[in-house]
Amino acid sequence: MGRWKPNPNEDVRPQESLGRRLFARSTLAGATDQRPIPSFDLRNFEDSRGEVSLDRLGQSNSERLVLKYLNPRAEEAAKKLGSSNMIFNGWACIQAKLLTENKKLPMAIVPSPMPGNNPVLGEDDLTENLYHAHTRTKQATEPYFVALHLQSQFEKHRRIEYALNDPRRPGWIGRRFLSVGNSLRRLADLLQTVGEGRP
Amino acid sequence: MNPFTPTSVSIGTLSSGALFPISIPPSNRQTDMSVVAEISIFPIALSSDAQWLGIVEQRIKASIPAEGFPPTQDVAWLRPQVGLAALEFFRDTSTALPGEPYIYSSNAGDLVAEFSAPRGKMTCLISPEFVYVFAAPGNEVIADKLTPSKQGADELRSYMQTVTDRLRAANQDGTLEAKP
Repeated sequence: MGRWKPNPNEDVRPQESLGRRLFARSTLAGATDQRPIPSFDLRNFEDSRGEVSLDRLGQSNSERLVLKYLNPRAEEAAKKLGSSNMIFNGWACIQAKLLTENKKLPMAIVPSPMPGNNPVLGEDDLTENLYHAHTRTKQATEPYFVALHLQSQFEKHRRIEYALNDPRRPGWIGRRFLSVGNSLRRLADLLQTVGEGRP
Repeated sequence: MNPFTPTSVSIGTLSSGALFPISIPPSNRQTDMSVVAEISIFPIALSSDAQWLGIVEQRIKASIPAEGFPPTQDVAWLRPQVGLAALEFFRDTSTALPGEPYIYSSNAGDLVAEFSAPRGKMTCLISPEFVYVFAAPGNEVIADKLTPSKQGADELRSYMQTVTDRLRAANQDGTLEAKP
């Protein structure tokens, strides 16, 4: 079966798996002795425009062929983002509807595929990203609030898709277990939604 | 030996969490179980700061590049104004915060301080102009932009204590689960 290619003219579906790229970041010069708390680094969600870029990772779960397409692009982005110790670690993942139907800050997820700088190269051009989307809030919102809200939502439904060459990435059997775990988690989210009386 | 030579035999805690020694004069420390010990509290042992404050101050100070020395690129540094604002914030509010923060620099150059608490996490973003506070205890969200220069230390500490209590509260009505 070929790789899923989303139609850029169609809305992001509620079940789609969205990913925010995670990069290893520098610690403070005087605070290298700290023990980190289990959390996504806020810098991964900061964007001064208040719009945050996302990758559409699959129609329901993350799809391996999509990850294979996106992984070199994310590594390239890490190089461009600046310092030499910026390393791409993987994606924090969430189901689209948990952002779009959120009570605290409902967001629109706007598909915004990037055509790439060199149309001749097509998919080999690492500036192209057919799976790019970005968040949009209905009213102007403090950028720090957007970052903190996203960080808390991704943490609440903590799912990580590690970079393809990351040693923490589980093998085939591990991924099957994770897949079952993710299904159970979605069921729990659904039950919670019903329990809160949301539509 | 002076019978009132202070001897620490036990320790207790003030509501602020600071440790203090309790001294019992040796003459009263004897076999009679009914004796009531004289207790003196040494003011010098009292502190209105959290125990972790010193180490966090050190970390912040060591993250401000020395004048005339260009900062290296493999680690993150704080602007002096941000560092000073953070030091002031922690000195004013340390006992009203949930515990020792995990600190790093935001992309915008402000200081991020993350705190763990029983009902969730609190994040403070400290800049020279404002402190942005975000916490999500249970199903509620607390987000406020504070201006320490206008509000003053007492109001700031009182606000932070309220948020910390929400993060420790067991119930939505604010009933406290436990004191740290």
